[in-house]
Amino acid sequence: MHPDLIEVQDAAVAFGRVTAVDAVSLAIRPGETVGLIGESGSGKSTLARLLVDLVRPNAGTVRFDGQDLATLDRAARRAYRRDAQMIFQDPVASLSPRMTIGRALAEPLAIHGIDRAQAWPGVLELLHRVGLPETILGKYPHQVSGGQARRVGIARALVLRPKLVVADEPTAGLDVSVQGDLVNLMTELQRDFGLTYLLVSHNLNVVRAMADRFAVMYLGRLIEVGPARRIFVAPAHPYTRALIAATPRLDPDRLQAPVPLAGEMPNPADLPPGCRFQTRCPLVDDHCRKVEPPETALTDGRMVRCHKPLVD
Amino acid sequence: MTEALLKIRDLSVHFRTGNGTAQVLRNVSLDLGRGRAVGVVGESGSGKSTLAAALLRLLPANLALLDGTIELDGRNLLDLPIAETVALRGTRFAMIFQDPMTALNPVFTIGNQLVELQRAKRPKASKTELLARATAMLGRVGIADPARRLTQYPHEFSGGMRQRVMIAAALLTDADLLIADEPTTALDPTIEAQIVALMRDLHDEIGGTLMLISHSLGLISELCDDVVVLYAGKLVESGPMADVFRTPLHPYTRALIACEIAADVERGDRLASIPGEVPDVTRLPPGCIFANRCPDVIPACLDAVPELREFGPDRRAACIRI
Amino acid sequence: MRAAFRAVWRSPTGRIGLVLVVLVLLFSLFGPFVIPYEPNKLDVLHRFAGPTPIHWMGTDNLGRDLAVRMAVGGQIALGVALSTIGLSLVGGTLLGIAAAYAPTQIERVILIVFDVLSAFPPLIFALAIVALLGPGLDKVVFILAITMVPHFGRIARAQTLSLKHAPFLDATRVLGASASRLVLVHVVPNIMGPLVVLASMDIPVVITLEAGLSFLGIGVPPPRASWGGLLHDGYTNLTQSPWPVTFAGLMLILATLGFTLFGEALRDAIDPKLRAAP
Repeated sequence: MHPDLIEVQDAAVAFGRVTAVDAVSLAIRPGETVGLIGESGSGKSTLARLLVDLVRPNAGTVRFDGQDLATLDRAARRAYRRDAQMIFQDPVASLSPRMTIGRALAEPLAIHGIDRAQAWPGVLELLHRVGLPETILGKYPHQVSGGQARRVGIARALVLRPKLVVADEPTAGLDVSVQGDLVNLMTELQRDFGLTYLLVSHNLNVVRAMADRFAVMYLGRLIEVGPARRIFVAPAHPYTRALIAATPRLDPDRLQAPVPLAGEMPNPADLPPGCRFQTRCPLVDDHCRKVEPPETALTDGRMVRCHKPLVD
Repeated sequence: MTEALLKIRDLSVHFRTGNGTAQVLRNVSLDLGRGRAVGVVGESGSGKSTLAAALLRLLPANLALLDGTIELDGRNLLDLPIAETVALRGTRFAMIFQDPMTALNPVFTIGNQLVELQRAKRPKASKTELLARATAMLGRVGIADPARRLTQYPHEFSGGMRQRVMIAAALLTDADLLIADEPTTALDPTIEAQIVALMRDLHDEIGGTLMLISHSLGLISELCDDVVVLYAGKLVESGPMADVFRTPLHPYTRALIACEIAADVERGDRLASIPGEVPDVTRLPPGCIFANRCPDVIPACLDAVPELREFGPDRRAACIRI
Repeated sequence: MRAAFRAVWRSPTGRIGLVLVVLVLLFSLFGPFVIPYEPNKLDVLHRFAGPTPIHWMGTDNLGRDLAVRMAVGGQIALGVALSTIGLSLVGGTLLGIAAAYAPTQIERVILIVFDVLSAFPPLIFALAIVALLGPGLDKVVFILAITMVPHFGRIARAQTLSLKHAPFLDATRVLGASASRLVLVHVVPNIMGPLVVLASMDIPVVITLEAGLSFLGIGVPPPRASWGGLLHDGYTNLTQSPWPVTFAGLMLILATLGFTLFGEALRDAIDPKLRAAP
């Protein structure tokens, strides 16, 4: 068994003139939860799709359990699907509109030729485990609530008992009063099924409660990777610091007046030379504008891509 | 104590739906103090957006009931003929929506739209004058190179930029009341932080009245002076923001605050949530609307809908257990 | 689908349309069994008879019973409509989906094919085919089906394009579905709505086209009884008896009216439902 469950090396994905993912290297160990954090245009969704083979890299490799995905033939690729699954951001839209929930849950079995009679009790158990009643099986996606659809999405992703689950904004659109339930459920499922999670989100609060490590992306590059707690308490990259400060928190006494970033994001199709964060960084200098910072290791093992990290 | 700008008393809004009558708002009473920023806290099904729509008389066609009073300058807005209500929009009231793309006309330039909306209050002003005001306002909301931006179309602006344009548009109307319905929900956190700082600075500077509707307690705590908590169509608590958030009275408010993820949360901690679901407002249960999810519920809670009681200056809550 | 039919029944014009359609169907299918005459049996002595208890619609210029010929004509009309629409629906849908997923060059070729096919007026095209291959029922179906392929193809392509990036297709791909499974199980059922409506509204169009071709003599060849042929014979012998033209014309009008009303009611039933479903 390979030490890393999934390993991305120097991967790049380009759409026309825009390089959504640019020379990204990330390794995820079995059983851990990595929070992939970034805002719009960061490339986090593209990187997530890379891990579930929804998009192929233009450069670099993606290895699962040591095997390069690019070398897999069609049958092996299909087998890979049983190991890596995804939970989508819009739960209702991720379900086929003309299929009942029951059929949607049976779909993975049908696709992989698994005997339905044998596997169905396991599916029902999953349904029970995510807290849904059997009566939901006959309903259509537009007839169930967003929260229920989200749980269906989770159950469906687990039918094949994958090893890796990529969750795209798992709490998006959920009321605060119910997001705790979902986070707790995902944590329990990880424990019970031995899952490895990649959480894609810009909601730092939720990711903090679930992640071992953070991987922060900005305009296609990983700019900080390391233990979640450390990064949250003492961010090294100025962007990470700004993102943490921007997370709204209940502050009746207004103790923290957030100082927002100034400036605009550059056009991703026309990036300036040097650091990509230069247009908004409070610490920017001429060197930053000329030379793109390389990946550097900090003393605590973190990776940061910055000429002037806030921490050594 | 200056008189409130807007006094809402016993506002009830019901809709006809396929499942029966949805009693979306029931006997909501609140004051919007002049110059105050009032936050309306509500999750899904609270009726918060219907409250904004009722103020602007933008309610949909399947309205079954619209009762109560909304008093502005001593007149009940609900009694006004539609033409007068329309005249109020853009002169006394301005609104910012969650998705600015729906409020901006994609086929006209921003400059065109910002000039036109000023004509309601300045019918005799020249186009040059209105353009100058628009340019200044775009600069005020932090848009660089405003003169050039005025010639551009909405699709040429990013989400955060469009929201700034909406704020500029609202300010240009010189409205007395600005209603902002989830203005930052669709924005990334760092952009949201910029808009929040802008709104706070502008409110400090101009001092108009703001009604901020949001599900985010954090956002409301950053911007609002007063807060009103809505749950499934009922106003359950209100008061100065700091008081309500520091010492919440109503069990729902307390539970909601408990759901906020703490600063020292560890990986694997169990997070708090409110068990159960928001009740169906087409089939209202007897008694308190929060009873089926309340940690402090007793049998008496199911007997009658709790009255909104006073608990000090400006502090109200609807619960028999306080 | 069941709900759509119920909605059609509720609308007054839809109800009329459905009743007419059912009447035409019953008449065409069961008429030849009930009516005791052969459609091609000549009885020149009793030609041009008006409606009588023996011949309900009278007889035509060669003494053949009109009623049974109407029924056979109905079978032909409906048979041509269904097979034509069936062929062009399947062909058009496949090409449309292919165009939506294909690389740009291939998509362009398919679109050009659509444009070329739409540019041919059905009648001229029919004349050309008949001149080359001779008249016949199968030729009619072929001609009409070809001209209607772009009609379905463009809608199928537009519908597929709007679905192409839908999350549920990505989700199914992540589950491991093959391309054919994606198309057959997930894309086709979700684009069928507008296509079915279009197909039902095309039935009267094809009936009229077939009648037109047969009227001109380049459609279904005599002595087979088609409504167009009956109209032609009745028209040329109008001075001898007004009945053949009247009945044939009436038949055609009722059939096309019935299918048109039904199709429109179906469209109204399905469209708002499509809009209502999120």
